[in-house]
Amino acid sequence: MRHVKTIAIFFAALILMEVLYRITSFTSDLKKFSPEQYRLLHISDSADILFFGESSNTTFAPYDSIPYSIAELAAQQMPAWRWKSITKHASHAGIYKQWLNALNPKSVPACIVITVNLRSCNADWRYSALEPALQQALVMGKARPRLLNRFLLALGFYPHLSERLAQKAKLTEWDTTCLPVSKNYPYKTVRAWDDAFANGYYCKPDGSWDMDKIQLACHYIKSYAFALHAENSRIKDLDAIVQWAQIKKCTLVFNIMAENLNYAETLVGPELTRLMRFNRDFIVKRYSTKGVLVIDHLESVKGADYIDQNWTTEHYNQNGRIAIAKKLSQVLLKNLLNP
Amino acid sequence: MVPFIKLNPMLFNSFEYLLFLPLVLGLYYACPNKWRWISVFAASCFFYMQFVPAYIFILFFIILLDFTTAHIIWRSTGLTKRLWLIISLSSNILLLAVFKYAAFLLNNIFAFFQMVHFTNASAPTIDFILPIGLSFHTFQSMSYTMDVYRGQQKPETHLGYFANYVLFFPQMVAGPIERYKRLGVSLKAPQALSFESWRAALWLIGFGLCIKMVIADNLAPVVNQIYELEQPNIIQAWTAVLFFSVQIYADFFGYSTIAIGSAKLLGIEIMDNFKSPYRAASITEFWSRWHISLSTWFKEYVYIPLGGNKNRYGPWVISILAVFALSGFWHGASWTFIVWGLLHGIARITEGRQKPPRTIFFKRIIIFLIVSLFWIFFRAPDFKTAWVICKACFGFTDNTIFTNYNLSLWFWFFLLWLIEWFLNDQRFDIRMLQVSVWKRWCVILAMVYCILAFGGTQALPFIYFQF
Repeated sequence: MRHVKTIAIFFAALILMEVLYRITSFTSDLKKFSPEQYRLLHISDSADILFFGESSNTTFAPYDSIPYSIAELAAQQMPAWRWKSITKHASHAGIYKQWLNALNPKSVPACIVITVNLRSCNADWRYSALEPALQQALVMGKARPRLLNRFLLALGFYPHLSERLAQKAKLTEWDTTCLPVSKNYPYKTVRAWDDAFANGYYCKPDGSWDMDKIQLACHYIKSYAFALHAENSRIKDLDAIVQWAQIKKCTLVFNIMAENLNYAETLVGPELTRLMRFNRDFIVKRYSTKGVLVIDHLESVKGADYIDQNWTTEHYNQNGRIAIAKKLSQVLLKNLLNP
Repeated sequence: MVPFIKLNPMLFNSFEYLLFLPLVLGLYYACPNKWRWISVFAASCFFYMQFVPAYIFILFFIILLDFTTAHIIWRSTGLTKRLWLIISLSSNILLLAVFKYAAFLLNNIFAFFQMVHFTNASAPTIDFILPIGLSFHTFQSMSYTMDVYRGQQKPETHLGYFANYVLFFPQMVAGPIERYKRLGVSLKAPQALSFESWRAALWLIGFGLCIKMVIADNLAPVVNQIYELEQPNIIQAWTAVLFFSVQIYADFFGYSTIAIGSAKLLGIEIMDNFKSPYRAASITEFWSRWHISLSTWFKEYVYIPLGGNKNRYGPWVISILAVFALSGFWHGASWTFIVWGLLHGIARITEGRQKPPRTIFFKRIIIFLIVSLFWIFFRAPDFKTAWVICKACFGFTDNTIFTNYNLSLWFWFFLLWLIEWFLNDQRFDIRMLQVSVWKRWCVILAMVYCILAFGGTQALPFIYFQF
């Protein structure tokens, strides 16, 4: 009986601790460890359109004279609508899915725009070293007792692989997954393709290897040589987002970002751009039939409008951002009822 | 390439361990007494294999080697006996040399050859992942064979119990480095578990988690940040030095306390590894309070065989320096660790052979500051960083910009001193029995709240795991 009493006192104290934590530290901890979820709790009341993005939304070229993000530019085209955007570098569908759960359920915006970055579906991004930090930033917003969330955060209890394990998983995928390339194309896996280019595919006039070009070509291969399928974890996340939107009855927009196809073709060849288009078509077909407004920007930005000419990113200068924002706002204006 | 890569060591401050421990306890107490060693063995193997599973064979090798050689040593006499001891010890040391010191030794040999223009070649790259806790279990196992050699310990006849002595999961990866006469006996005849021992064990685990997660893990990011600065200012340098002193103590003391608590839940007693080391009024006293199991190991198996206190002054100085340099080298394959050890050795020599005078408060502060400054060489990844911090501590820095650090972090620094004051040189569970029920409840609830609400968020591994 004495022990029962002791345990009861302990549990009562735990409940009091939860209350104390909510009153004293929770808000500051949420702001510190999960700033996006903190913002989401407060902005959904005041937004008609909520835009989720990654670095493509807010990266500017040093020579830009228009310092507005894609979301801001689109909002300027639709003054009657209240826009809010949440941007976090390296985020992806898996993160957006969690953000949606952090929205105030009583005031879900009329429309949610999800940035779909094709590269985010590749093995490099899925097993990225940035993933643990992204997952860590979600713990505080989970629907559990707040004090438990804080404790689990300290214990490092969130889904993540060690760097070496992630590297191993990535390499295995590159080694073993057969790509749907043309029958006669000699490189059937990312590894084979990458090896072929890495071993002196480009040479300088003096016969030495052109390492800059080789490295960039290899990077393009690792970034875009994959074929989407229903089992890809990003596709599963997008499916979950669609399901969420159907339950909440809000308009869902998948905004497929532009990629530098011309350069990919020049550098690696048409087999790579064929795969990129295949992946775009996969998303368009899969989600258009599920009631999602899929806006395809894949080939909307000119090669010169990419800020990083020597790497694969979706960072556009003002021309690129304006082109995307314009198309996005046009589709939304056409499809959304007035606010 | 390491086979069966896993590389997620199970940390005491992880959700996995908080699940693992109750499962092990369930399994352990479900087994009849006679078979409990099997559950400890299985749990220890599982615990160890969370890192690199294939490395369990290193431990099996150590177990089989020392189990066998101990029996041969016990039965042999004269030169044969000594020969088998040498075989056992050198095999253990060879393992350490291959996995821990090979890269260091090769780099230094090649650097020497380059210096005397013998070769221009650079050392071959060695990319071994250091087996977790290798220094701890090799030293533990070596102490057993040396005790058998000296006739202080009968060889164990049950391979399972001996395996558990080397593998016992609570102390396998970061000590305390136990002697067989203590842990072996406890493993063979665990105490019956009473409510009082369960309670004490849970207190110890909670206390260990609290100082690790709340004090060590909150101070670590600041220390790491300052050690990465190219030119810290004097305030930053002293912040890093003082915080690291508290961090490493809270980290290792926390680990050891959780280990003692976890073992206690199985009815097994393991030794205390710390006794308020920063209350020491001399370096000699510091080493009788800090990492006690390692200090006594070096004293029993290196210092005394070298002549110990009976030596004349010259040989005594050499033996002290050798012991401290070895102790530094034991920690890590780097010259910075050796220098750290030598600094302690020199400080120890300056104190002479007399017993230090009774503790006075002022002297304690001086010793704390000296030890804190010595830690710079322990913490710094290289001499360049150590030199930068040392210089900055004494004002030799061009950086005079005051950085506004989060002053609340000093709360965790002072919390440790508050805890030390509360402990009053005693182990937490014993101290708790001396205070009133009300005070006890206050301490427990404050501790639980701190763990739940203020744990550091980087889930850092224990510092001593790397040794």
